[in-house]
Amino acid sequence: MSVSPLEVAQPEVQTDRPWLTVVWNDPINLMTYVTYVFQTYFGYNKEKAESLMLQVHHEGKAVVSSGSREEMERDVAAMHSYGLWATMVKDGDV
Amino acid sequence: MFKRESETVVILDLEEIEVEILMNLVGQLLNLLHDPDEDEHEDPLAQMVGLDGPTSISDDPVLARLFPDAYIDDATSSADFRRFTQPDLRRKKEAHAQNVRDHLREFPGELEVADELLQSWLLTINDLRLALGTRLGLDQETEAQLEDESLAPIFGLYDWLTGLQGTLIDVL
Repeated sequence: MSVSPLEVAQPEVQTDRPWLTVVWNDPINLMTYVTYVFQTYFGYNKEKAESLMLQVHHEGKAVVSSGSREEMERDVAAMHSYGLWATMVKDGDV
Repeated sequence: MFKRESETVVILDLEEIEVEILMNLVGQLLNLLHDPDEDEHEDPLAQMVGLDGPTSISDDPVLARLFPDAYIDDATSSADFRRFTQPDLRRKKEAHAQNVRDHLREFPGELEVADELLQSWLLTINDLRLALGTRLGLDQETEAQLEDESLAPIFGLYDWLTGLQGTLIDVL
């Protein structure tokens, strides 16, 4: 009689990739305003906020935060409340 | 224009004509934001918890700019996001604009702006710039509209709001 190895049910691994919040360039929002929003909402220091703002300005978009889908929904809604053009995407789909 | 008087005090200085212009613009923004459906909402619970918003982006370019899609290539997720977030977002924008309108009634003059009103001013001026800028086609950067002289007064207003917002950001 052979002993078969115990079959252990593997818990389903959550392979959720983190989600990203992307802010897009627009010609209306002032650069100083965008920097202010990144500092105020995300708590980024001035240097990081300005560098993200410049990335938005020069490259057309920048990833400004990452996390769970729920967290990114919150961030995108907050960006919309400030009038910034933001979308969310799964990491890897950018 | 805004200026910082001291560590804790911010002053806003508006002349009569500026108050009239802002009253008019904020009134238009409030009309735009107002949702007639909400006055007689069928489901009081949905209204209370802020559910049951629209599922598609507005045909009006200004509303589309104020309430953009949250996903680029996912119409279903965009619709869900909009349904759950837009009513709350719209009510907040409306409340900020109402705060500004109430405050404007105290002008003209040189008056102190309470801390809790600075955010309302900042977001409302920004919504006005987004609205005017979108109407002017600045979001498309179309040369034709930039050359249309009949739009010159709106460009004047837009530039003035840009200056006003600049002074506000400086004092924050």
